[in-house]
Amino acid sequence: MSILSYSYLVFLPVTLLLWYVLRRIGKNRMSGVVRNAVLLLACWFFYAGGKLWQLPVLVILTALSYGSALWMECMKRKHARVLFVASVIINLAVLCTFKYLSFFLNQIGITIVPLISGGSLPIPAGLSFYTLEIIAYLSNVFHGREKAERNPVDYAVFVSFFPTIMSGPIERPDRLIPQLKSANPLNTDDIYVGLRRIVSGIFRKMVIADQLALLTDEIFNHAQNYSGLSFALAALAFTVQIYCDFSGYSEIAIGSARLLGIRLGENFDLPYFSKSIKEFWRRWHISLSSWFRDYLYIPLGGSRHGLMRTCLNVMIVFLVSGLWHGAGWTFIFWGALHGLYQIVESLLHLDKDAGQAKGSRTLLVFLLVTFAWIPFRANSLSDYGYILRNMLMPNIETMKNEFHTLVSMGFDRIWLAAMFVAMVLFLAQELYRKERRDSLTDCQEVNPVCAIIFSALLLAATLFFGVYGPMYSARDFIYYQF
Amino acid sequence: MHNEYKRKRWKCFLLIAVLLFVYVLTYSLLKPRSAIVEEFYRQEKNSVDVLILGSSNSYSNINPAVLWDEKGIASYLLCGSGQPIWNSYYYLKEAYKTQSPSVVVLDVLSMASYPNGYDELSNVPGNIMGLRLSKNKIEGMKASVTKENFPALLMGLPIFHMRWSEILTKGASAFRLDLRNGAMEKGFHPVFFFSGQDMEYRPEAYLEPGEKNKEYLQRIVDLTEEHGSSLLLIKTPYALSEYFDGVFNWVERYAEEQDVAFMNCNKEYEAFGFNFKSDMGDTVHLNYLGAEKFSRYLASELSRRYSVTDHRGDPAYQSWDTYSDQWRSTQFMAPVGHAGEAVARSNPEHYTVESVHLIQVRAELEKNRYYQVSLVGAENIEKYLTIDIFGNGYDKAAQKNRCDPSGKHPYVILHTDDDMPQTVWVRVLGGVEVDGISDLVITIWETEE
Repeated sequence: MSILSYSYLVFLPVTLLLWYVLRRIGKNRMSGVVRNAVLLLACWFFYAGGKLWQLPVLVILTALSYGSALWMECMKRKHARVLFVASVIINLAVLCTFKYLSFFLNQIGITIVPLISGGSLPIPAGLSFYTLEIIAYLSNVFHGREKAERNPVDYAVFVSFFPTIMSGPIERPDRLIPQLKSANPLNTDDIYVGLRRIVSGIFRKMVIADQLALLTDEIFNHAQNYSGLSFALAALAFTVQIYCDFSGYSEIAIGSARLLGIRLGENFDLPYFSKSIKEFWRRWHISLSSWFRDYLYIPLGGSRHGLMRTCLNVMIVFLVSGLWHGAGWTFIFWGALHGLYQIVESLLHLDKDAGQAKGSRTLLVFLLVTFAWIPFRANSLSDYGYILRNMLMPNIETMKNEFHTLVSMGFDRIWLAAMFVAMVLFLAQELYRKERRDSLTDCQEVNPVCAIIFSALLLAATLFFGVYGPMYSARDFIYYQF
Repeated sequence: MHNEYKRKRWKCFLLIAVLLFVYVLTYSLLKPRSAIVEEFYRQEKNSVDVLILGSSNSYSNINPAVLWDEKGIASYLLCGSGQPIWNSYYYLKEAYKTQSPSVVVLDVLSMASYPNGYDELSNVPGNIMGLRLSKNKIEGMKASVTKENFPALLMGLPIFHMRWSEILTKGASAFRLDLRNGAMEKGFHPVFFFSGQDMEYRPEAYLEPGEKNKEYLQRIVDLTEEHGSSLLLIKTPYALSEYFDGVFNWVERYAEEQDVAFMNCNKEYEAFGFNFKSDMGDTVHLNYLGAEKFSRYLASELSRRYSVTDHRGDPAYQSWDTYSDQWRSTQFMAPVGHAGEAVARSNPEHYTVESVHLIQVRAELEKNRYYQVSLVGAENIEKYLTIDIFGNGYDKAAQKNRCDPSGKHPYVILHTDDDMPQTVWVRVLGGVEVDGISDLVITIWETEE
């Protein structure tokens, strides 16, 4: 089930109602078990919605990791290590089989499963996200950072928690599981903040991301029809689109969890205001970046083994990150580009305090990130090459025709006017968050009248300009595919 | 502490209330209004004697003003663009709540439409959204769309929120637009085009309609029987392809079996003096002149077949008198001298000009002369217009528009010849969307070649 589907509009209130009623009924241990069992069923119902075949993969990986963690605690260190490595390998093997096997075999000229359309296996939704959560949990238990969870229901809810299972944020067990166990009373602040964040999320997704997607899809999917400035425009549009798409999803997920009284970690912290690439990665997809830092970069040695090794580690992390985003050379190239940025930045010490040059440094980082999004969005490396060549050699005559084509397709003054209004609302939100840190996530600090009016404006903009309904073809969140 | 708790609770309730209000407000601003259905609800209880159901083949081809003028028949066109037969059924069910028509007329084009059982989404709002919230409306919605699209239709906004661009283009006037823009009071929607084409009916064709179409036709037969109304199936002139003719012939056989009356007017052209060339507005609709002819014929058939009461002179039926007067005064006609100026005035009170279909003025011209005809109005539309003169089978179109030296007003030079009848019409044909135009001025004067 998608969190932007009509089913979710029914699913969420029903689940919340059950949750609130069960939370009110009792606060003893037993009622907690019943409450979480109901939540688990809801999570599985949400996950299986329409694609029942995905559920066994989730349940098996959950059961295996639950058992392994408990077993590891009872074993000697040497044996526990074997079990830990084996469990991680199983999770990675499942992830790689579904996600990368077709890609790697295609590289050597073998097409598997010719009966399946596209010659690749269907990927269970959210696999890339929940396998990382499981690996984090196994690692924490193995290294003694946390105790193995005894209660199978609580653990299963952690892995299959419906707001996060499809596209994150990748939650840490030590934050989520204790919240599931506690039985805090119903807090209207949670509903207030949760609803506002959901409204903000659907605005970002349905208005900005999806409207811009109409433009970027046209240009990137028909690259041969466009040139110079059109590509620059498309790259800029995609930079905003992917941020609004994914941060919009995260807002809806965080908001939905907050309605249950559960606080998830933030996933974005104004990334386009970063003054270095290193800072960008501290602010962009925080739950993934911190996962890579804690469970890949640091185990590889981090920055403790000299400059060369640090650079190598950085590059490995970004290549893996690229591959995690998709089984394709464009994603690997994107990862490599970011790795390169960060290495150069470290070597030139540009990641240190920018001093007086904050503004220009922010602009430079924004442009570098925008430039890197081009291979990420390009349909193939050859498309990317074509775009790059033509971006550097703009042709004024053909550009006029291209703009006329775009206007005739509906990207006209009306569309621009609507986008202008939407962008003003979006930028107002971003700048407000920048000025008053976290002010929109913590309701205490914002004047409720202003906050409610702002949410009303966002909802109105979404209902008017949003890309939704059967007249538009439904668009998945970009991060669903990862 | 208690105050703090209360404050938090109010904040939360206020947010929920405001968000709900925004949804309701957006919904009501963007909801397309269905004038035909809204007007139907305003009809006096039990005043409609003849209820007409169907698509544009009904609402453009049958003029209730003519039925009234000819035989005093109080009729209403409860129709919608491309109305599927399942929507006709739910409209009829809804109509029986307030009306008890003695005759129900159903145009059977819908038997040939949507053989896969579903309407195109673009036509759905016009055929169901106008109904008041009721069991009929919900069931009608279910019947109209696939299971996947039902939630969207139920919520409404996912289907029609795209009108926002229309609102931005047209401003406040778009809020007043309805789906049957231009529909008159009893549901009539005149067509002012002239297609000038010929067609032929295929009596030998035969094709079974879709199962869902057959099911709802049977439901309509049963429902009218249950309510004691006579059902008259008709097919207004429409001969587009073997497929349609085949289905209409199936309906003929079905009607015989069920003992239901069926008038396939494609077999009765002579009966009402129908001429494809002059009476069709396009390939599928009669123009307003054709509708006048056809309605006269239908009026006589209705009074011949059924005992429909003549309500003329009855003060309770004054709304039909008013409508008839309105129709007669709304036509785009103005007398003009042979070198004069005419104002083709669309009456904005009764007819919102969304697109210039046709504006015509009567002119007294002389034979074998050259006339310059120019049009002054909104600049954006002029280049699309064509101007010609016609009358009594005479049709002289200009080759192409030219512009006056200022480059502003288009004009054409027309040459009249010996075949020209004494009185002709100067006709301006358009078909483009314009905004807020109520007056277009046609000037005609004699000129050199």
